[in-house]
Amino acid sequence: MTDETISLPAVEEFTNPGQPVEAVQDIMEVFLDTASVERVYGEPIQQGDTLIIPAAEVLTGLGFGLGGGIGIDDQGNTNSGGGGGGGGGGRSFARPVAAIIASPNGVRIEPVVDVTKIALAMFTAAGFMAGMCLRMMSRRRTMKLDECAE
Amino acid sequence: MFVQVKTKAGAPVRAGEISITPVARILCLQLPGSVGGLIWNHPTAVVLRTKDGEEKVLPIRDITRQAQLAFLGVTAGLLVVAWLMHRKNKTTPKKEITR
Repeated sequence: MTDETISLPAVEEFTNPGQPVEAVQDIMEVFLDTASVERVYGEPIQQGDTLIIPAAEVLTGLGFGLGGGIGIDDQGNTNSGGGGGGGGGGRSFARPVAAIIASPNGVRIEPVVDVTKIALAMFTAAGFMAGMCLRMMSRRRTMKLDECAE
Repeated sequence: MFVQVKTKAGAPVRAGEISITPVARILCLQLPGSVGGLIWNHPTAVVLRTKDGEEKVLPIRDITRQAQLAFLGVTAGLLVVAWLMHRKNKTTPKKEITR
């Protein structure tokens, strides 16, 4: 999951302080647009008699937060000042999954195998298991030493 | 928290005499108060339709994800087995050595 696929509106569009709601709406529209089939399947590519449709997995996350407050002076007046603010963030990931190949011989699906990701998962699992074995062996040794001491 | 799973079919694509309809599964996770969320969109299958009206579904397998899950499953399984064995050794009473 490396490539960002969603193009958010330009920063200049968000600099107008009078339109924060519109900016949020724009972002939400872009975010909800991720939930369509067109985001997963790419444009078909025609190569001679063969038609290729790329397929990818898309994951998008988004979050907002808003806050505000009013200042109270020594006399208890609430109109002495106030402020507010908000923020948000999001990220989008896409990963190729397969390619659908339609040729005169028929239609087939070629999976995209990410060897790096699989190797990383394998090494993480192996490291975890090795750590677990070492921990168990050291504990067993401690128990044996305790038995000998008794 | 609001969770929604939808299966959507896209516009069919013509490849010779076959019509290919892509299908995707979408998981929408909305945070309370509409302050954000998460959308996971992934391809699941393609539906092939011939001129005769014959339909065939070709599932799309995510080999990378399956391999990752397999490693995770094996590790979790071994962890549980090791924990059970360790627990058994701990609870089994030791035989007293008599001379």
